[in-house]
Amino acid sequence: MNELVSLKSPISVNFEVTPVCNLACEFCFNAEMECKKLSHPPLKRVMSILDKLAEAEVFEVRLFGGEFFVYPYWQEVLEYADKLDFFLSFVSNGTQINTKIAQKLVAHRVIGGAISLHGTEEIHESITQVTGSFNAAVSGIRACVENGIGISVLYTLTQANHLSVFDTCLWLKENGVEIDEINVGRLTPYGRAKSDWKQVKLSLHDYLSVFPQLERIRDELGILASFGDAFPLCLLPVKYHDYVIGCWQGTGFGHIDHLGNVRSCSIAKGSYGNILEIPLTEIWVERLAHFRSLKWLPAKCQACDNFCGGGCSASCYDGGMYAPDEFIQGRQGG
Amino acid sequence: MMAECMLPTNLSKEDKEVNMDSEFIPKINCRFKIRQDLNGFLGFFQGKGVLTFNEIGAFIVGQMTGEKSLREIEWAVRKAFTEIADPKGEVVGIAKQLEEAGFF
Repeated sequence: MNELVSLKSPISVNFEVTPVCNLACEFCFNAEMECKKLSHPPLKRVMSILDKLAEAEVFEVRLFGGEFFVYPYWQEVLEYADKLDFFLSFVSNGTQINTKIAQKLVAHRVIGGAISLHGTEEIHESITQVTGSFNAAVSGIRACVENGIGISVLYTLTQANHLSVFDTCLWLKENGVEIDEINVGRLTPYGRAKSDWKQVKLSLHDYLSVFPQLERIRDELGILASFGDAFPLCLLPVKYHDYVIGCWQGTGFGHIDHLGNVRSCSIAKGSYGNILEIPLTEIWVERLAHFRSLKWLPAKCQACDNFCGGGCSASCYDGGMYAPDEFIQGRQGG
Repeated sequence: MMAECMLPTNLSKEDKEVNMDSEFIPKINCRFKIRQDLNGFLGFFQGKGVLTFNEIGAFIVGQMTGEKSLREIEWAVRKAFTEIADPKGEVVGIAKQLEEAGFF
């Protein structure tokens, strides 16, 4: 039977420094409907969380939000995290990043990051609901690349953009925006997408239509294009299995929210405990043991020779932290 | 000594060949850290990936910072792990694996 490896703490975490964001993406999984109206957490708490991550010997911290760069003390956070000797990266919408910010990142040993771009200009801005956000994001990507920071584009698939992945990459290529890679991600029934999930969700056919585009992007544009989240390999033609990066939640990857709550996934809600109250190593080793046992997965997944994690837990409507992929049918195991 | 990568990496073979004689001074070409974990040691190599090691492997890799030759690392291994039968073989073996994976 399959079982996930136990580590004492995550290798890499997404740390939601602030829940506040300057965009209003129509699918945002980060639950709160009014990201702009939320409050920033105090710097002292952010630093305390970083201290706890360092104590647990987490290697990599991906500065995450909300939007990390709208946090008023983002520079202090960057400096402090670097001082703690983390490997640093970021996940951003790119709109705040300019040359000066990119240089600051480089000064703190950031060599790569991820910026969201959900389509060509019209599509992207229909999703973010902010005019000018496309050019601002592209400008942010350029600033990073010109300063030696490798950029992965994150592209969340929706009904409006799932057929435009190739066109978006073609636009980037033709306009000299040199990204390292593009990772497309699952649309998930959390946050804004949850309320009208039946209307907005993507079908299996929709997802399968994305893979030939990834193949074309690799072959014709020379850009590494992958499926960034987990996907049930049993439903995917074998030729595309290598396109799925998959998910290492609960083993090497964890998510820490702005309050210090620990999750195994940045999207699926719930908490295994708070690192300001309980050591992360204790949470990670003891409280995720059931998760790593995989007994919550359908029996066929537990025994599968081509294990893919049971797809993406976050894709399952009301699935919580222990759910198989929305496209996997079957009863749970023991 | 050194296990396979446990996670997806961007490791690539480099064309250049490194002469693995005793005077060779290995320097891993990226920032890296190693931690002791529940079952062995984990090494995080920035931009490349994660490798797992046993205690001796972790010790050897931790020495490959461009300050010591393979011979000096071998001596350090002899001193730290007196029970090892073939410290030179251990050091050279790891150096070769890292070289093949483009770490030097």
